[in-house]
Amino acid sequence: MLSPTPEQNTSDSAIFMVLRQMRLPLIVLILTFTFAIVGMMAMPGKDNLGNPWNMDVFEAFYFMSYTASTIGYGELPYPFSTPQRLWVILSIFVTVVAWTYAIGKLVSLLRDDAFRTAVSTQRFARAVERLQEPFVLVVGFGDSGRRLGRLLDANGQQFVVLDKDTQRITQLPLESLSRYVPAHPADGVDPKELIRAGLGLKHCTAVAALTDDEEANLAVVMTASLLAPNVPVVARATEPIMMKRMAAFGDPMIVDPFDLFGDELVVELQKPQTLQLLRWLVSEPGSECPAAERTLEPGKWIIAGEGHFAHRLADDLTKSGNIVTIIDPEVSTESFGATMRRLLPSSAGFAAATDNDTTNLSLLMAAKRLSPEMYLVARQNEPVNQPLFDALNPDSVLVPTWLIAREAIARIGTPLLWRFIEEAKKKTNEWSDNLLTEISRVDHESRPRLWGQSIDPSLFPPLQSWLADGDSRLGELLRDPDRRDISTDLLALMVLRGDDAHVLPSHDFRIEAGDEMLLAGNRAAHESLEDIFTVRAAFDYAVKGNRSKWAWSPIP
Amino acid sequence: MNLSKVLFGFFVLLAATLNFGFFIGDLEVTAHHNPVELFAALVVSLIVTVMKLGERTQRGAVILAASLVADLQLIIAATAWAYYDTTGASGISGAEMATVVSLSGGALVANLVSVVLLVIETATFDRR
Repeated sequence: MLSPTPEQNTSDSAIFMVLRQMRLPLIVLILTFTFAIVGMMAMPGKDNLGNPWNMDVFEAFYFMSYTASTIGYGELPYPFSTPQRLWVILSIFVTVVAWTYAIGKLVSLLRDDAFRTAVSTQRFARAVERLQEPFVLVVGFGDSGRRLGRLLDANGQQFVVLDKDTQRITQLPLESLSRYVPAHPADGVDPKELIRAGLGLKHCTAVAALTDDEEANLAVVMTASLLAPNVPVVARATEPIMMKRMAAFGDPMIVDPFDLFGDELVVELQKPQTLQLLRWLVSEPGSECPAAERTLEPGKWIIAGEGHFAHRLADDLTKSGNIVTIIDPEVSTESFGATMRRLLPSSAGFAAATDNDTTNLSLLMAAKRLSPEMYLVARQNEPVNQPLFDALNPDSVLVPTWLIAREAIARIGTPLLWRFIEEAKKKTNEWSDNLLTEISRVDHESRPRLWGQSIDPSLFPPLQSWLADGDSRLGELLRDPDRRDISTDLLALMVLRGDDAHVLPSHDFRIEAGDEMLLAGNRAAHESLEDIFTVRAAFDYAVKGNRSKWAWSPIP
Repeated sequence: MNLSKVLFGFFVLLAATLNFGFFIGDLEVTAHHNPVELFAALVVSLIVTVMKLGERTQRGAVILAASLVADLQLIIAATAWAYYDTTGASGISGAEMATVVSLSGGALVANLVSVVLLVIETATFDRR
């Protein structure tokens, strides 16, 4: 058989494969039927009056149909003569075998692995094509991919999953996500698979390359930047050489958990409320505000570990004014213990940063015993060790997969959120603290919905005149479309105009065409705002104060 | 020489010739049209269809379509014949035979299209 080209393979290869394989059984079936029918017609018989009688084509076909399929109504329309019966014996053996052969072949084809793979591939491609909402293509469904998937789902975003490992794909339905997520076991390194998974489709808004294999991630970044240059890509990478190579392709957002952790830790030590705010904003809607960590003045730090991560962390801590000593527990157990005992009492913080969880846990235990007030930082390598780290409860834990998922959702999840986070990082701790209070007011202390709203008169014509009269204030959009004298529980976090971000704009802020707003609010507020932006009467009343005669008439 | 191509050419031509054999003659004269020939034409036409199942080339797909049309017309003709032959008092009448034959005439056109396509395919084969 010819190897199918990619385009053909996507659409209907499975059915073609079956049809081709069924050619011989079907021809055998037709020929044996014909043979039996012709024979039945030739055999001399007698009708009920004893006159010589021969079956015609119809009667013979009728008889053979029920005989070959082993249904067997008997001798119709008249009892058979001996020559006819002899022929029936022969016919039964031939046609029943042919029938069984054809059906057996069909069943074996349907159970064939290649066929089933082809069918599931086809089903996946169709499911992706049929998606009517924006989706994120997640390549690699390991721990970080799964966490990202849960966050996307909780934020009401569709996604599509590719993973080399069939088992991960078959386990996807166990995630109990709120939507049907098309998933396919395939290697993202293959551009054909990425195209099948929706890369380049209108609705594919972002790609996340989160496999364990950095080279595979590089391949995904490369494919995406060449085939869909405008689609943002988030890629996991920790090795500098890979980051450099990725950076050569467009402008992918490279997520390095080790680098991120250092940055977060520095923010955490100096501005715990800011970190609290950022973590809350990227958590699932409805979740509670995470607890604040304690602050720590710059001081002496000990990092136990070697390699990339320890040095990265040391750099970040040094930059923020700490004095850092790196010791390697692998070198010599004895001198290591001595150094620990010598340095620990005078240190403010201790980081267990080796790539072995058992070592990290034992180091943490030791440090905790020597100095209970010490600020403890732990690196957790394996997700399965979560309960142990929870029990030990260090001040800060690095879980790479969790960090990756959080960073990815912040960058490709809600539009504008990443920009807001960048701006918020520049602000003071007090600013974050105030904002935390304000946000918790919006939706009963739980994390409100976050969404982007663009001011686009071409999508909603009534905006045109409102924007044109030069007095378009943000506060007018935040009014309740049922009672315009009260404001809905909406918080405008940011207005992005061109490349200028206006963080926490006041109600007097002047809105212009083309602005992008990032809003936080509860469900009712979200729906009210959607009414204002889709229903002319709601817009006229809430924004302009005109009670329309045709209340709730949809826009023409 | 490719055996499957020989077989396929054989069946396409045979379907057309059998169909023609049944069709030729006075429309209403029952004696001019042998039902066994209609049956044979139907069988051969079915074989042609099956041989083109799963075809991916453009020309193969058109031949498949043409033979499906022929199958359809011949099945209707055969059904009509079986119905008329068994329900009427004295076998099939002239007018009824005309219906059967004209249905098989439609199938003949489809079969001729298959033959023409086959000839074109053969003629262009060397140049590819």
